[in-house]
Amino acid sequence: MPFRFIEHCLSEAFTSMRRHWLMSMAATVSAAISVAIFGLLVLIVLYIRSAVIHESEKVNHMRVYLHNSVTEQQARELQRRIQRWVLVKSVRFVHKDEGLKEMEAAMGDNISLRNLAGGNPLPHRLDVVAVNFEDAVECAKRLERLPGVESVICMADVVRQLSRIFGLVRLCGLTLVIITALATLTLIANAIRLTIYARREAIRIMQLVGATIWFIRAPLLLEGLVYGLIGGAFASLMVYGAHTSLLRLVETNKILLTLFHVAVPNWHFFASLTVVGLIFGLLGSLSAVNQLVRYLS
Amino acid sequence: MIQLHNVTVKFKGGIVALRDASFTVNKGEFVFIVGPTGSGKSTVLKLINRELLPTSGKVIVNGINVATLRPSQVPFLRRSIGFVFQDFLLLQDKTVWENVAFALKVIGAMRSEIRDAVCSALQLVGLIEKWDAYPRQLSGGEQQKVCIARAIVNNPLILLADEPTGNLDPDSSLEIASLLERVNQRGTTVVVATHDKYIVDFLKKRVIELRNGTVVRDEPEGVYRGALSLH
Repeated sequence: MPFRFIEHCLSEAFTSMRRHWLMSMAATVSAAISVAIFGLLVLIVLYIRSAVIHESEKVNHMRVYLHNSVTEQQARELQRRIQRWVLVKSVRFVHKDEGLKEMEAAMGDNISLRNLAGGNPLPHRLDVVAVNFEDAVECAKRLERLPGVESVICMADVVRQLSRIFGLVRLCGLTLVIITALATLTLIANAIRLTIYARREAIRIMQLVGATIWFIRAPLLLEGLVYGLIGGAFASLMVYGAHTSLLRLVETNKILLTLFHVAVPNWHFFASLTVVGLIFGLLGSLSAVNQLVRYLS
Repeated sequence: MIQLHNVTVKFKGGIVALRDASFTVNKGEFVFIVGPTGSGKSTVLKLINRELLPTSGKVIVNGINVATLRPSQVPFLRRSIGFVFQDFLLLQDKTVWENVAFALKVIGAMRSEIRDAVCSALQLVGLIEKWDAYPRQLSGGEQQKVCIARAIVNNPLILLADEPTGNLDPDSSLEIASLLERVNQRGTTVVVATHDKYIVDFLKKRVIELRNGTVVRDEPEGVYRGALSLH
């Protein structure tokens, strides 16, 4: 029985695909395009996310300048307190003398700040690193409220901007993916509906001679799965090709290369696109076949 | 074999297809259901085949109340019922053999079982010589014979025929009537819904006449005259 069942499903599904080759091709091509768009969007999101994370290593650093009245002991006490925060990765105490040296080093050898009237004007400082860049803004706000803190310098605006861009890309990507997915599902469902219409007599006969509902619907589901599978496989090839070409293109551009070397997807990513196609095919055919099942019951 | 107890079928919009109809068809019987168009003949067949459910009353087929059957059990009921259509409903891209075999293939029959059963069904209807012909190469009468072969290939307990001679000339109609009688003689209960006077009068079997969904006549060896008088 299982062998005959499989034989029946394969023969019915492929016969129907051969007869309605134009609709079958439309469904397959549309599945390929949607899955390719899906794959490209995921790639873009992946790269932007990786780039953002890469850059965030710089922007999640904060400099906390303390009041001049804060002693070294009080500053170290504050350091221990901040270190206990979940949002904080590390805190380093920078003595005001060390701060002065850093400033001199940054300004160049020909400028000396040691002979300033009144001695070292700099306060003690804490260098805080947030766990991730998304938390840096919140962390900076909390640091500003601490007693003894004069000011907090962090690249909050950059962080906010990056967060916003990243969120926007994710939202646009998701919207596009949903739209293309719906279009694909509709096309695959329509291809199956056409098959059902073309095979209405055979389905009626099957229904009347006592074929089980699975015997009737399995070939139709298989047909949808094949559209999705072939479409998904083509899409993964397209995305792989586009990705490889793009990498070759940016190989000569150092700025772009810093972005693109971050997260190169492996073959699992491209294989999973075929699975996405398969899922599209299954869902599209399920929606059409369920209508038929409701009608038959 | 088939029992209808006070069966009423109402469709949406208040149309009553069958009104308090009751009758019994015994095992091995041959019954004509006659009446004008819209009298409820096809509704009776659809009730027996569980394509329709009664609004009220009971339909018992082979000891089973069809209304209580779960959808998953319906195919198994239908395997004991053969169905013959007025418009033959043959698959045009399949040969005679494939059309008949299709009925067994889709219920998962073994290949050897299919071969033997198709051979014997085609022999019974006299079309074994034309096993590899396509429906379009056959006459109307021959196409109906293929339809009958497909309906009986599974050795059903009941054979339902809905206007089996509706598209045929009188000679072919009598041939089909004889064939249905032969099927009946093998022990199959045959129920034929028709308004073909010739075959009813030719076979002189039990006649149940419907009028506006009501059983108005049930004669053991009837003729068509009652139905004619309605026109």
